[in-house]
Amino acid sequence: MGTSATELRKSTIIAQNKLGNYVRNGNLVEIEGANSTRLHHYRRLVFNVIFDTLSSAYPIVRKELGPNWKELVDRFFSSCDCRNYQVWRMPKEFLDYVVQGEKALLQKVPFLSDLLLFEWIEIELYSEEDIGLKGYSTKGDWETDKIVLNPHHRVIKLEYPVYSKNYDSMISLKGTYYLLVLRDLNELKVRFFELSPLFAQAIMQVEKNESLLLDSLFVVSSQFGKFDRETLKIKSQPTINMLFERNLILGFQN
Amino acid sequence: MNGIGLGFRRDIAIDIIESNSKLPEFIEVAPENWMKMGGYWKKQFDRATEKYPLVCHGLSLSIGSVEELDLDFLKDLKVFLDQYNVSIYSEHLSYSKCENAHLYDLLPIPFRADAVKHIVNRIKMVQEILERPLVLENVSYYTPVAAEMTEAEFISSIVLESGCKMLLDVNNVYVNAFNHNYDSMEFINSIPLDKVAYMHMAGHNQVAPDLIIDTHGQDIIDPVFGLFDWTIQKLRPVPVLLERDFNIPELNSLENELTKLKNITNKHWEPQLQN
Repeated sequence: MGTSATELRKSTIIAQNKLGNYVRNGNLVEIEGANSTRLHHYRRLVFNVIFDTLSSAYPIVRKELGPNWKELVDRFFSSCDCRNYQVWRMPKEFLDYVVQGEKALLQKVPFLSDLLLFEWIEIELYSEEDIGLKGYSTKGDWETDKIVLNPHHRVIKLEYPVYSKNYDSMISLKGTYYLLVLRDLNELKVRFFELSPLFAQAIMQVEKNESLLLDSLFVVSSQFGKFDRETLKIKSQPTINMLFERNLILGFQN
Repeated sequence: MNGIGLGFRRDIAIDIIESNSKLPEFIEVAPENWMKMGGYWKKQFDRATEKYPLVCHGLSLSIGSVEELDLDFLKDLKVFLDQYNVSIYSEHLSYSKCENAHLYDLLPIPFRADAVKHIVNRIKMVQEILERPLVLENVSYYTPVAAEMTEAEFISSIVLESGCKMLLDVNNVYVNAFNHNYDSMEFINSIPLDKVAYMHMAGHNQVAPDLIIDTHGQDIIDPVFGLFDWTIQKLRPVPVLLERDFNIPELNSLENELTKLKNITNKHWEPQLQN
């Protein structure tokens, strides 16, 4: 099924593209038959949609960047083609643009990409399409039964603890941090929890290999010291209980 | 479907769902804001669609764009429209994508014969894919671009040649007549009113002595109600929507406007609706 623009004259295409480019970059050019004193309203209206959507998605980044925020939004909109037809997903394109195309800004604010990810993940998990759950049992033993995880979760690795909100001293806190972000399936709210590197990596392994959690913990724990399985099980039990309570581990495979 | 509807905005969503009022009689959403959506808002959306008939008014089709139609989008859209049994799917006679980049707002298409032909072909494809008529809205615009015919000629040609339906936005007619110095009634008389399947009413903001911006952020002014009253006498009954996208007041304040619209439509359409 073709949808080509062969019916259009070159001058029609040029006029449409000139207006489209002007609203993106603000560089006014003469457009055939247009009232140049009114064109700025289009630029203002379109830019406001982009600015408001991004400001609402990234309130902390906006506050941290201060006057640089508007300039960043402007650079993004004028140089990055927004491909998603859903405006609420456009902030993810902004995140990708900053990570790939704003090297100078990232040097100046090294925790910026972590902060953008931290804010975006909340939006994504809050709104992403519901994922159906296969049957599972709430009774079982995590030593011998495979666990069932809440499908609406992410384990993210950060270089800066951007969730701590100590932005003034953030640069000095560079390290490795893991954050569990999940949609509470009862209240449908997004919650954040710090995870130890041991549990973060073990959960990622469980997801990847569909392995037993205790096996994954055992494999990962070798990086952190020697534990026998029984000691590991006893030491891990409080965290496992917490992960049940917080709705990451839903139960056990039937 | 008939009646007076209201845009289902998150600011007033719970009030709409829990309202005991007779108005609105249906709700309208932009499908792009609800497609492939889960979690809390999906749950509320499903509650709303169990209570009210749903009309969809899209933002991302970009029927006037130079580049090809987004077939993946249309496929997703059809799934959504089918899932919620949507009979009226309307869009804007404008473009919101340029060189494959979404702009998320509406730009004016050149009123030209080649654009008519281009858009007519695209409408036919969209209707074929969605398996339902496309209902296109006359948009407000602040400057013409590369125009070679009048707005009324442009709209009429597209509607008549494509077989699509029309969403007549009376506020947009008022805004355009003011901004481009033409007679709103003459305009309405010159478009194919028998193709009107849906109507919009909204408020606007005058920003200069010679310019109104179509904001959907204010109450409807009396001259627009007057134009609506005059217009619907020429139409068969169709659903009418109150659009309110910004500065959204309490639901009971919007109910006053809904009631006013209901009274006008009852005055002229009740005998036809009873037959």
